[in-house]
Amino acid sequence: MASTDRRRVLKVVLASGAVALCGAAAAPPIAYVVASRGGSGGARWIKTVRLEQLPEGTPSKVKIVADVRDAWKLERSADLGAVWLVRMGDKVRALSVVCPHLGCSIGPNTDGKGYACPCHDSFFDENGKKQGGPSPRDMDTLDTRIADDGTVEVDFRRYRQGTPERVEIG
Amino acid sequence: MSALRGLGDFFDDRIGLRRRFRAMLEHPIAGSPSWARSVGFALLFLLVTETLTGIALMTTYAPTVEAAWASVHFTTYLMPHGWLLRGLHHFAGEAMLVLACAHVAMLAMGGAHRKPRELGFIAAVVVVGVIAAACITGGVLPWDQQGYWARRIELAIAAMGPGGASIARLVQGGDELGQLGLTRMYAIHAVILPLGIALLLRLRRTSEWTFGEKIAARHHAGFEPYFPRQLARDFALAASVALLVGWMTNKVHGAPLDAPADPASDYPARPEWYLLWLYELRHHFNGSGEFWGTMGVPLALALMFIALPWIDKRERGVSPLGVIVVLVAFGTIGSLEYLSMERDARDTKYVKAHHEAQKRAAVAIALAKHGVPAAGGLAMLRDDPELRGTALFSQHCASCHVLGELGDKKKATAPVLDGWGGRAWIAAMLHDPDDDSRFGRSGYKEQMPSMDIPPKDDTGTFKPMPLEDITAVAMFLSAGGMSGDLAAEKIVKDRCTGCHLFKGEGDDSGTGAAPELYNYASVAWIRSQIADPSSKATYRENALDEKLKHHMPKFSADLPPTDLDLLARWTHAHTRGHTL
Repeated sequence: MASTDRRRVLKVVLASGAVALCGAAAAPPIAYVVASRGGSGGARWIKTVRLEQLPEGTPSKVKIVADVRDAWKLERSADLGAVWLVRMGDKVRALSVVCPHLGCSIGPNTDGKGYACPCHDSFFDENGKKQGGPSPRDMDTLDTRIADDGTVEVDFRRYRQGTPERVEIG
Repeated sequence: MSALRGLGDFFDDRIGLRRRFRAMLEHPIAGSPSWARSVGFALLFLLVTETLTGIALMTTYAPTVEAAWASVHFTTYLMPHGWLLRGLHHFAGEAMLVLACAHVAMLAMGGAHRKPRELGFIAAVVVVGVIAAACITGGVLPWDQQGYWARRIELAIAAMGPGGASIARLVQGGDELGQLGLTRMYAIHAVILPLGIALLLRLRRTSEWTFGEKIAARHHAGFEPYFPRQLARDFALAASVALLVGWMTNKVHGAPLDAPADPASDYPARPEWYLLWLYELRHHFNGSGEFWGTMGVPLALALMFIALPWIDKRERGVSPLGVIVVLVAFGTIGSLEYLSMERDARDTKYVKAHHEAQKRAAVAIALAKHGVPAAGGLAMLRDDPELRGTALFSQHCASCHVLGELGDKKKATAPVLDGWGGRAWIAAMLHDPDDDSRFGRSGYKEQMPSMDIPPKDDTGTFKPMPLEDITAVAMFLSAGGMSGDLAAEKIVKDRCTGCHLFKGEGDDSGTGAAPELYNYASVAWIRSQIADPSSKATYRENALDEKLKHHMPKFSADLPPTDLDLLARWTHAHTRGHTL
């Protein structure tokens, strides 16, 4: 009887040893991968084109160019993405080209009015309001301001896809 | 509990898990439990550790010559727990190498090479080489100075031997160590060698367990099951090794990272500590001997071990021949290691060069925390204004001038620039221009008189400048002559512009060799002086006269405008004790 008890204790001790050894080998790598922090930081208020370069009322697709830090890499004047800009007098309306559905790049609608996503056929009117298709919300609007030198600056934020509400990333 | 048991039953019915597990625990182990046998388990444990930490490191590593250093820097200094991961991976690898050597020594001395265990023994010998190869190929992955230069030299030595050129070409993917070499060594390190180690450890265990079964079948007294005594020792040794690796990692805080690999640098290359004995051997061989010395000797040592099963005629007990082989091998390696370390410790030139290299590494590591350009760590260093300025000054200015740590005061033929153009410097200049740190060693010696010490041929007309005037002028000129101090400006015009210019006016005596004092020692003034000292903006038309021995040359033809700008800014900052 005593011998089987001793054997049971031994088993428990050695099983704990096995768990401890596995933990020692596996815990640091798991902690490392889980804590991974890469990706670009949120660039804000990015200079784009001059106001007079934008035609009144017609959407123009404009590149967002800024310095970007991605993991170890520091890239100057990198292409971060694009926005649709529409001039309305002294103001500019900016719509993110990123489709709120699954993140494809939204283009102009074939009928010339409003916008359409080429991947899954979400349609939006000229104000970015959702007209049809799988997109869960309207196109994301971005804030703009005109700098003293007449350049249009865009508050380039990014939002999560697939949600009815806008949720900012980063 | 019953759900767990049910799950256990499910798998047991299909793949016989419990039976396998029990068979492992009850497996007969020949003789009594031993620590020597536990080394195999500790190696397996370390291999698992290396695999897991290696996979984690792969998630933040990029094997390109531009990105490798930056990604390892990111891993080590910017990722949470990154230093820990790299340190564990590094020291667990070295622990494997040490343990594998100890394993071979214990087996050889204990006679574990004898029939029928020859294959298992040879596997233990070969795995030492494979683990060393894994450490060596791993060392190149950060693409830092240490890894790059050590591998470059090793591959050059390997290429000297018969067929070596083809092997080196295979590893490097070409005739020189570059992008393909890095990617290939990454593949070899991360896939091929770990597989090799795993297969060899497996072969070793199969050999040992077959031997155990044979003993068990022959006579029951000569064996006991793996569980619990051998298993307990296995766990205890593995845990001790894990603690040691953790302790080393914590002590060193990660693993070393040198400056980015620079093929144009004169790096004092040494191999890693476990190869220093070969580095020492190389000192004693020349020509094709370099190959036979550094590759032939380790090969001969390995063959000595591999031949042991066949030359050892004694049938049981401790193997005296094994003891001799171990003493010869480890005695040779140990004494060569000692000689090499001792040689370097005595070599002041090496110690200095090594120190310089470490300083460069520290600078690169600090810079890279702000991000590394896509062109890589080397480009980051090349384009850093402070480093580039230092390099330009060392190359073009420090042969005559002294500034900070640059230049040699004993060989200088131009002024020491520390504090140059500042208030204290100008005051000292007005008092004693021909001090060795100012004009004393230059072509301008005796060109400028002191303002408060009478000249030797003074006939009593000399009026020493009062101290408050010297102070006022020093303050005025050190501010570029723009402070608006009209009294000081008047002193300058009374006492200085006889030879000097101020705002382009003066030099009544027509020397053409006393510099413009307006904006003196400013960035613009320095820029102009470096480009061409004979311009009116600085040292004037006679500055390049042959009579002025060691006069300052013009650099406008040698340096592009961007370098002139940078050098002027750098010099301006450093004369004032700042950095860019």
